[in-house]
Amino acid sequence: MKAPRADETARQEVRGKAQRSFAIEAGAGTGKTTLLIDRIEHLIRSGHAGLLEIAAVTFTENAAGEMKLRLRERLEGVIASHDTPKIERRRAEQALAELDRATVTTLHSLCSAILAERPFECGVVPGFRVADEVEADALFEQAWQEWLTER
Amino acid sequence: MGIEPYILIAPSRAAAVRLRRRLASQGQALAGVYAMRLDELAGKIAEPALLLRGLKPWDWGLSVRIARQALDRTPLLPADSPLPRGPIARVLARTLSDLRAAGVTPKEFEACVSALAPAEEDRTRLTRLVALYQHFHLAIQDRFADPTQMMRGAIDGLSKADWLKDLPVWITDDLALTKVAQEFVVALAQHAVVRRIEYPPRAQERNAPAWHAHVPATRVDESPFQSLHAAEVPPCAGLVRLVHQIFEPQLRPDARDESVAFVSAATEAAEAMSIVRRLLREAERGVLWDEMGILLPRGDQALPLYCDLLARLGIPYALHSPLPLGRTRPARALRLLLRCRGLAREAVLEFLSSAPIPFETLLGSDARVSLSLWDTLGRETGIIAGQLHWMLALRSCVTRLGAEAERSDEETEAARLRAKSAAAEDLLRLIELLTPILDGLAGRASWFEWADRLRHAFAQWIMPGEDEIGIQEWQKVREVIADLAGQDDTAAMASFDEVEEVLSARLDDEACPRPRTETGALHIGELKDMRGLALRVIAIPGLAEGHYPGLFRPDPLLLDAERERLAIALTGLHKTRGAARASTERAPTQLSLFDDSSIEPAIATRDWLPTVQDRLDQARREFAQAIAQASERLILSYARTDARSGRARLPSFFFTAAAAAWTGRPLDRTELALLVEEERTDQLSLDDALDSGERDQWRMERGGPGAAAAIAAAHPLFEQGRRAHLARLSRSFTTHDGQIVLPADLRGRIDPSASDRPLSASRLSVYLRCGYKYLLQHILRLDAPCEPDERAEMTARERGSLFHEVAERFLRALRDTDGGPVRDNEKQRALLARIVAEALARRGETRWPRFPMLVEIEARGFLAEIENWFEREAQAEEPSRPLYFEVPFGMGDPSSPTDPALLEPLRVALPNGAHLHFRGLIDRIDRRADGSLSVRDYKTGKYRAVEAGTVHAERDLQIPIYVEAVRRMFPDARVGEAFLDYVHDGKTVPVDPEKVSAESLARVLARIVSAMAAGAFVPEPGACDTCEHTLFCGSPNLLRWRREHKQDDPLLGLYRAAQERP
Repeated sequence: MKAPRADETARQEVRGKAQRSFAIEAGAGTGKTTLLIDRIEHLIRSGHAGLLEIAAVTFTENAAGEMKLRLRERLEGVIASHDTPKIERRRAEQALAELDRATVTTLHSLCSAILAERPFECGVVPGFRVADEVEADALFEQAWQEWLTER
Repeated sequence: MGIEPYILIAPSRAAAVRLRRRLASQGQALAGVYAMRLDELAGKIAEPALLLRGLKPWDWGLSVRIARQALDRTPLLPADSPLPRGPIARVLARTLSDLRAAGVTPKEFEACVSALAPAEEDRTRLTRLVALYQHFHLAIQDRFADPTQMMRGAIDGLSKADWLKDLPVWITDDLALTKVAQEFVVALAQHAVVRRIEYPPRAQERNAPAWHAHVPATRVDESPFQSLHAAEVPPCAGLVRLVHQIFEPQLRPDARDESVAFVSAATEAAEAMSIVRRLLREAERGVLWDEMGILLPRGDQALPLYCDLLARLGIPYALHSPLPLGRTRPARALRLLLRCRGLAREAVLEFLSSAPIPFETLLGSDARVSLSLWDTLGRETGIIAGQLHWMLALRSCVTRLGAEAERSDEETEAARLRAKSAAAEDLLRLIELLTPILDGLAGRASWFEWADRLRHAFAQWIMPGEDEIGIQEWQKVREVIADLAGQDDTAAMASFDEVEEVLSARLDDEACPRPRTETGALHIGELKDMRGLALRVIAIPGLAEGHYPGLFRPDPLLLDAERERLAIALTGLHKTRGAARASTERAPTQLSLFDDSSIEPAIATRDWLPTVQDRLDQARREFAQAIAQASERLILSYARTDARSGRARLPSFFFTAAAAAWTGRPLDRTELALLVEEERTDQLSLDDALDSGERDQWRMERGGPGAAAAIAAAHPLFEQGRRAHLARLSRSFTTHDGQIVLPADLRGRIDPSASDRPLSASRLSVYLRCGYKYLLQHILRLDAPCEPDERAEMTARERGSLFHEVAERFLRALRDTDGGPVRDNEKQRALLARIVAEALARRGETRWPRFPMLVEIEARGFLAEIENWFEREAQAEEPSRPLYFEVPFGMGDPSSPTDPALLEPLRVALPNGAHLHFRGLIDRIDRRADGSLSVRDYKTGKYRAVEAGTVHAERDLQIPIYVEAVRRMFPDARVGEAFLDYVHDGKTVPVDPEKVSAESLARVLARIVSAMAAGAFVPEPGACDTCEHTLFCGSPNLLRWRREHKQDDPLLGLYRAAQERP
């Protein structure tokens, strides 16, 4: 039998206390992502938030992809389980339908999504895209020339 | 029995054509079968009535233009907003088109505004949107036959379409229809004999769309298509499972078979190769080309790639999606011509070298088209942009080359110069002809006028292709230009920017003419154009994240929540999503995404305004339908790298969803990586090679050096490359590294002691810094490739030459007036300031940056530098009197007859009895207080510390040579001081003249000459940072590796010895 973790109480709090904010600091491989998935699952099942009202921000695109996969697996598990109450299954199904546009993403993509929804308020062109290094250099050169010409 | 005609509605034209072919192959009569898409039937019904009402044809570009005009009248943003209007107009056009497609009237929209958004800011935006929509709606309604008007016109026109009454309409049951299209089908069913072809097994698989309930069904085995159905091979079990389970919760047992392959490749090109290789294997096992297809999610990017590959491999293909006209040669040439506005050099030369230009007509039949020479002339003359720049530069070039040809004694050289001059004249004439054409493409004019000007420019400058397709392409582009005249329906006058925008959109929208579709060919096209085309083997490439499905962004003008509230306000209905209802209503095997029965056609008088989720669901449906088209084998693939940005790509969630449906559970990255197959070229057989390149690669990988030699025997260029490669990998310093081996009679080319031509010390310093650069620059005389570019600052050479000029003039003036040393007083400062100002003004007339601000910055920087120098001179502890400046030796007469000069070169005897001859220009000679001479050489570059053990070319060669030259010029004087003067840093590198002798100099020179004569022109990677020749040499890291690898070679030893101080 697996011995309970020393920090199990803290983990339970993070999973279940939807109204509280937490900062979790732990080493690699200790289960931070799993804990985040647990918390998201709790938020959805309890009806505290829909999936589209949650932002899960990761450092890399790979990590975001991995997290989405794990979240999908978790939601499908909830739906398949016979123990899941009807109302919670419906919430999980709703979340699963919305998973592909959920904000489980990198910080850059989150910012990009915010700008895309409110481009005029943020002063950017609608339909903008993030320039790569070469494009950024070319744009800088163009802006520099224009600036110089005006002087 | 007579032929019974009927209409057959298929999801795409490709499917319709194939159905006809299959019917024919089953021996059925085709004379009365009219196969088409639903929108084509709607067009045929609506067209007469719409034309009668005077409605004009529609294209997407029109909606953008009308949206732009609306924006001009009703600003959406504050007047001072810097955001460009073009992209905003495109977004606005989509929003307003959605409103029209949903059947929302401006009045209805206005009435709902207050209920849509609680925040004041959002309400203001929506109020402006209402005003914009009013303009947009009015501009289109009853004027253009846009898709909405066309479909509604068809519904209205049904009562008059008597020809439909005796013409049964058969509809396949897998049509994906918008609500207005569903409404049309329902209305059609009330006016004509409409039958839906029902496929019993499929009907149970997914929820039926709502329109099915309103159209009577006929089982396929009772329809005219029964023979086709009987001949159909039932899909593989694995594929059935994938089609059923895609996008569903996956917790099922694994039941894979061979029918689905998940594939990845490094790039899109490798992905295409991989897919085609798999299709070839399918062909090998007996699947006909006609039974296979490549469905491209976004054809605009990948279609040309696949078409090129298939054509190259000789695989017959039937293209179901048009390539945009913009990709054809005349359209690209037209775009290049328009890019020439402003006459930027690169744009003009790209146009001249890439476009099919009728040079003979423009320049006359005797003109020579010298594209490479024109390119060289453009660079050499330093042209950047603008008519004036071209004219001045080319005219002066023609004059200069003509004069040089006159002066030249050598006939070959004179002929070369004359040819170059003639080429410059031709280029000048082309620019003169091009200028008025481009000048005409600016300002504002009527659309008719713009069409006329563009037509003239196109006809004058761009030739049609020689084959039939080439001519058709040219004519089609000309038609698109002519069509611009019709744009005056939307506005009388337009700026050229607007014209270019519309033209560009039209070129991208119009299909280019294509050759007749081959029969028995592999099917290829965009997913949407091949909908419903059932095939045995289907490949769907491009399933990378962000590529397919693309990124669905919310509409910033009418947010998703506002769209839903508007729909609710107008219909009184709440949209319920399939997934939310699924647990209560959905059967276990049904696909929730196909369940849209919540919206009954009877009440769907307007379409829902699509939200991001709707578009995502739509994309999912399309993908699920696409994979259902395969009956035997499905290949899903993605490219791991974006070739454009070089960034890694992940598989899209469609790809991962398919993988999950296939395996019965969601897969993590590791499991997915195990499932995905990637071709390894080292594991392919020779029979798998698609072309000679792959075959040779295979042979190289397995056959070793023998195979390489065999390939080389047939390919001289490969042999040359192989030899170079082997030589560079060897431990010897070879001719492929920088060794020069010449016969004895040509040795003078590399051995300066075998020639009487005088050398300069700076030339030898190049050799010491990098032997290979010396080879390129002074033996092969290769100029470093240069690209005239906008200048932001003076070059180091210009700065140096400016300093030399100012210092010489200042010191000469000082010497000739009071003869004294430099003193920091008002008079001398004023003199210096005047000389600097004059020198700067002269530079400004010619080769300076063209921006006044940069000129000012450069001038300020230079002034500060010269003032520092002046103050250092004035504060010198032992002031000396400047005597002579720019004193030549071995260079003929001095610039001033009163100045000293050594007419003959300086001759230095080497220990082996040979001689070297030197020439040069001594910057400055001063008289010191003790009467001895002081020799100095200005250095305007950055000071670098002198290393003790190596030869420092300026200290160990240049100054000793100058000291020797001064001794010959002034035999009675003593050289008491010699040094390098780093004017920027204020540092000096002194050389003790007492230790300089012809013998000590000869010892240094002997080693250099010995290395040169042996042919050791060794690349020095440490010098690459400041070298302009690196394009010829390759990567510095590779050079460094080779240098290490070959360090035991004697030639390298000789070169190293030349760099060491004796």
